[in-house]
Amino acid sequence: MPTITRTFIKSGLAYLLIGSALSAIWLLQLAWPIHPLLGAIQPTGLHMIVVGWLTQLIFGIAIWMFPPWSKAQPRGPSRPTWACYALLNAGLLIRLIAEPLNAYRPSAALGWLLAASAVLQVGAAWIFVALMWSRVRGKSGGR
Amino acid sequence: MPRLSCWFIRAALLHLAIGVSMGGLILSAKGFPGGMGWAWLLLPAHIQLLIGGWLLQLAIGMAYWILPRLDGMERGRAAAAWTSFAALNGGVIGAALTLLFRSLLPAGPFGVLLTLFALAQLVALAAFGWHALPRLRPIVIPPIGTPTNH
Repeated sequence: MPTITRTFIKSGLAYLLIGSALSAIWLLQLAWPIHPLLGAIQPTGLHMIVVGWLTQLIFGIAIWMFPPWSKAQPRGPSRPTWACYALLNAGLLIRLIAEPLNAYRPSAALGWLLAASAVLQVGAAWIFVALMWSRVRGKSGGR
Repeated sequence: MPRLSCWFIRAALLHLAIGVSMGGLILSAKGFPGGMGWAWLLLPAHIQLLIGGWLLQLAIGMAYWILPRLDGMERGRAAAAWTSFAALNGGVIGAALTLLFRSLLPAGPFGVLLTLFALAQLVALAAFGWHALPRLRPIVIPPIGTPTNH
């Protein structure tokens, strides 16, 4: 298994823990209100699981298992692949902090952080699509 | 990778690119509710595209590729699998657009359209289930020394 895939999957597992913990805390907050900030973490917990774990797991496995890019570079060019990883995880980490805080006490700075998180995650997805597009092909088809 | 899997997976990648872009606008709207509040209208389409168009479609495309093949190395029931592709994309794109226009327009035949597109998505799943059922079987590995016809 290539390093980039292991990195994607291990990061994904960390987000699974974070997302599950946030979702559990949100449920506890519903039953026993502890702090209003905890009432704002539900969408963050959901996205940590769906994007941080599930999508990241798919990205890592696809980079590993899809038909090779070329004989010399079976997984495709290294830099864009790592850029995809870096952008996605930077976007997710910013979101993890900024989204609940902004829902609890909005501010312009947090608003800009959310916009930055959005740009980073969208950029990562577009890079992934561009990288995988040419690898989705039949045995006889060229790029 | 078979041609139909290429179609499924490339369509899934397009749904991912569009659905995540919508999600980016919605996330930005949380930061700037005054200027970008309109982006919340994209939420139902965002969910449709990413759940049905990306995750589900990718899973079906991969399953068509890697499930065990039938005797003779054929995948079988190709018409059902192609029906699934057409119905899933018609259903997801149609539902996403209908949900979007329902947010923008005061009235329209939205109930009928949503019912039709929901049925199309069900047809897609049923057709793929019909295709895949014969392929869901254990792999029989012959004992060492047994002659095989492969």
